[in-house]
Amino acid sequence: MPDQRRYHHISSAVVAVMPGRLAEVAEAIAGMGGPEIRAQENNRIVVVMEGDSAGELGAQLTALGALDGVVAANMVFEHIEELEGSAP
Amino acid sequence: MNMRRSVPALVFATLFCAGTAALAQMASDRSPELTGPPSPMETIPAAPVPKWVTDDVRKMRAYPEQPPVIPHSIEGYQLSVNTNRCLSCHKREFTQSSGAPMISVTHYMTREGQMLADVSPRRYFCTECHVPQADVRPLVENRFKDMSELGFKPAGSE
Amino acid sequence: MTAELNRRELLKAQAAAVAAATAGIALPASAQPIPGGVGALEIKWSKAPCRFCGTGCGVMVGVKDGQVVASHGDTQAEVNRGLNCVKGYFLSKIMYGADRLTTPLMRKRNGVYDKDGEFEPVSWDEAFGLMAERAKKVLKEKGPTAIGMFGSGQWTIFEGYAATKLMRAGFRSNNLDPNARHCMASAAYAFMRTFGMDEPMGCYDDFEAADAFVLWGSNMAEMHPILWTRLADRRLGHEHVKVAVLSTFTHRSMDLADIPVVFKPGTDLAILNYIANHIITTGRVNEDFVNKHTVFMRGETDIGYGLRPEDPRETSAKGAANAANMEPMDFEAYKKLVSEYTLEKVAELSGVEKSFLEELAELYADPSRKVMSLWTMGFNQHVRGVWANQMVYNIHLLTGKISEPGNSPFSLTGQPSACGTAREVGTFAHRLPADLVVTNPEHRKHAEEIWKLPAGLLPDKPGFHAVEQDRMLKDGKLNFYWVQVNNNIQASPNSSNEAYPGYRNPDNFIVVSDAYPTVTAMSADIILPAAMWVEKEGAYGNAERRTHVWHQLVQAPGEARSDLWQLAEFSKRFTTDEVWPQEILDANPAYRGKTLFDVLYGNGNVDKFPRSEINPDYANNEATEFGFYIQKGLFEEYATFGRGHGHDLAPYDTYHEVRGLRWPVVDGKETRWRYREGLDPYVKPGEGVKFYGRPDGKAVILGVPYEPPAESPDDEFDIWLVTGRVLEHWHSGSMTLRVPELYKAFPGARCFMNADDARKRGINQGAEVRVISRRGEIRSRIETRGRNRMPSGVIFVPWFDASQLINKVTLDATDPISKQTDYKKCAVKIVPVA
Repeated sequence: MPDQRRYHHISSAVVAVMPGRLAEVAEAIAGMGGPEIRAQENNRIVVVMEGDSAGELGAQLTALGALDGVVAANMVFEHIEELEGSAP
Repeated sequence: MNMRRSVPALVFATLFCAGTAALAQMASDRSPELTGPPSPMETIPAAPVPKWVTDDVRKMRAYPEQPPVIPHSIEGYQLSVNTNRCLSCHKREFTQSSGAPMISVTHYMTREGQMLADVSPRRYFCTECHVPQADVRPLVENRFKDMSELGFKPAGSE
Repeated sequence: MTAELNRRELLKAQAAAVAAATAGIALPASAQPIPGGVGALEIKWSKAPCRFCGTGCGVMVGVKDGQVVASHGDTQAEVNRGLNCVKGYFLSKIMYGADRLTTPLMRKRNGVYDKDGEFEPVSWDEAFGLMAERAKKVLKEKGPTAIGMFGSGQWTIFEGYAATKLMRAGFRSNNLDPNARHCMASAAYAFMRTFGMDEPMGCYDDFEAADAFVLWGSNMAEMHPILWTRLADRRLGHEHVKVAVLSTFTHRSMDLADIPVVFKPGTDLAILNYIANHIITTGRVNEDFVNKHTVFMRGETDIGYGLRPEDPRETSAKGAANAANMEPMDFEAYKKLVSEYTLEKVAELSGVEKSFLEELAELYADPSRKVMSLWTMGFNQHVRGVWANQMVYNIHLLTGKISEPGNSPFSLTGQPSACGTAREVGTFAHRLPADLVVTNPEHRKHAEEIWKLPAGLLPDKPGFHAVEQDRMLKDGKLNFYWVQVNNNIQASPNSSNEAYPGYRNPDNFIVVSDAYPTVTAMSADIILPAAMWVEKEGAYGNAERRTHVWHQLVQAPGEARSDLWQLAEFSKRFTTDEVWPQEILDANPAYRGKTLFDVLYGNGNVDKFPRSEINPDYANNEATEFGFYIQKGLFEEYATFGRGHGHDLAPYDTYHEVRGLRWPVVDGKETRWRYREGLDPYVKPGEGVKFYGRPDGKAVILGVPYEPPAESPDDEFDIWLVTGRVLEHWHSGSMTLRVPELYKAFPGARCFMNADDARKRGINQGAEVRVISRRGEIRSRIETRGRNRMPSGVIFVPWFDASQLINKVTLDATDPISKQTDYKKCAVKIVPVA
């Protein structure tokens, strides 16, 4: 029987940026439309992402990692919410 | 239904009996594989070779810096000077067709901190850090706490 | 905003706070929904060396709420520059196995101690009380030689040093040996015999300077992964670089080999002499170097196998009594000795193709190629291990390829402080700190002066080495025995006949200090729970002479205490009047009525530094208990031995600031290459190269032949057994098997076997078999595929698995000079389990 529950995923990640390219990368992230920037400093950017599936967030994370000037994007925290009234 | 269980843990748990309260208490946490059989020099049967986890489901890392484990079998993979089977799916150029996660760009950095266009040779041997997982249950529980469990109480959890 | 959306916003804010905390970034105040603010989520990062092998990688350890929550490779650590291997990346979990020992345990029956009783929790006071009573009884009835301790290359420097003081000066027994005896004693003896000083002349910087790497029986890809990344980096990034890998089977390091060499067990000795012969016959001896800086010596031959003296292999060995003898010889005699080792003869003996042997010899012979030779257990765990070590020095000395960047014979180590503690501190049965020995009266006098102890106190006879300790326990001659930081019942050779019986011998009293209930702990009479790694302040010394210090970062669980605390606290239970000879006390009445703690650790040196010198950001349980900065005091007293004598260490506090320094540290500068002018401050201008460890300033080239192993396959026991490790588990697995990810990566030992060999015996992949020798057996599962590809006639079984104690099967033969066990060569048979 297919799982009919619905979930909401929230995660955060730290994006490490090459020296001197913080502003440029922050702009690119803002342009992605998904991840929200919560803080930036010392060549690191903290982003928060949300979506309906882990795959969706994984895709965002991969996209972050592939941005020019990004050294690494590591997921730090993930929370999965079961949406109310969705249980079978 | 796919029940996952560790055969040796079930077999030997019943073999083990302890005399005193202290050992009995210890015994509940112990397993013969880690402390030896009840009588240390005894020869005991060898557990069957377990199967690898091959579900391709990414496992959450215990902390951000942990190298992700491999959710598939790598049996027979060649990793030599001329061939790297891992890269043939996980390298940036191949991820679109393979659907595999791309190697983190941290792997492009040399020992001197230079970024290369491709994977740095120091990161060439993937299995130094990334390992597949057998489909077994750990013999001893590990009480490592995820940082999100510490000092973290989600609002509305009452 | 609906309740659900509001909640999501909170979760997102919290997610951001967690990420910000890991990244060390402060969030704007508006984004702090966590009670207590972001401070409550902050992770405190501190440096430490890795807990596992001798590579000595730097790690950053993240602590939150008194728990280690994360770790990663230290980008500032010169050794690993941000990388860790899979074990290192999981360090965060090694302390949290659910079966950590948290209270002392004593075997009891009806409420009192009974050797055949079951373990019950007791207080430290009760445990120490019984230990002291037993130790005093043994001392009184049988004297100091019936007391012994087995320590470790995993002891911190302070712990090893405190132990050596307690055993030698306190109990007046040299029966102190480290598990490093099983690990690199052959390397240490060879250093002393060749250069008069222990430890490598080169360092890891050689990896970036060499044009060729030769691995002698070392599988670095699994056992020294981070050094392997440096080697791979050099090989893959520079086309001219060549790698030769020699082993008795094909393993992961062969994946990078340009010259893969699989030889028959024991024939590496012949290959080494062939290379020397090739260098000589092709006229490539560096004559200037050889004339100025070397002397030739002939080694005693037919030296036996370190078995029990009544074994026929010992009684028939003519040179066994003088195994360590070396007599002067000249170049011509050496040339004649190695001339027997022709290409044809060695190819035949070793089973290696001639072309590979020639290519290998050329790496060394070619004067334009810088060569780094690397070895660990293949050479060291060898009945001719000291010879093998010296024979590789022969090759480097003949060609002058030594003591300069890239030209480097390099002995790797397997434990985090095999060098720093076992060797430098001198925890071997014959050694004192800084390469001094117990048999030399001047050395003993020097130690007594530094330790502020009465003259003549230190015993002059070397104590029992590791394998001998097991034999003496079994024979009832060693009766009080304390084991710290090692799992010797799993590690010791021929264990069911020679190791375990001694632990259960009713005449003996066995104490084991460990963090987890290992096989060894479960074989003891008292188990003491130990604090581990960053649960205490520590110092390790790695394979390239790097001393690395860390702070205590978290508290150990329950009643667990560091080995340092255990040693020092236990010493309070003895007075000098109880343990020292009457004549020494008569001559030195001021020492009367003092505890061993007073004279060993309260001596004005060790208790010199107040607690106020400790960085207030970190706990230090031992300093709190004893009232002074004991680690600093021990370190500074210990450093007195080496300063000005080629073993100079920096001031202790410096080590808390840096990622380790390579000794000798002179004028604040570390030394990367020793024995060469301009690189080593101990070599004076104009001297060029000077091997100053020896009185004549010259290194020894040793002429010795090939001699066969102690046991070889025959009709009944028809196959070689080689034991060793795997990447994912460290040594006996007591830490790594408790990390779920590492356990699942390699959940049980296998018997790696050649597929044809298996087929001939009717055995399929995965089938259960018995591995049987003349001494014992285990049951395992056959692996014909996987990471190790075995040649016909050889099997490999790793020893990490306590449910498959392969050392019940191995032979307790040792190198007769170093007394290090040969775990790589014995004869077994494989029988399917019906």
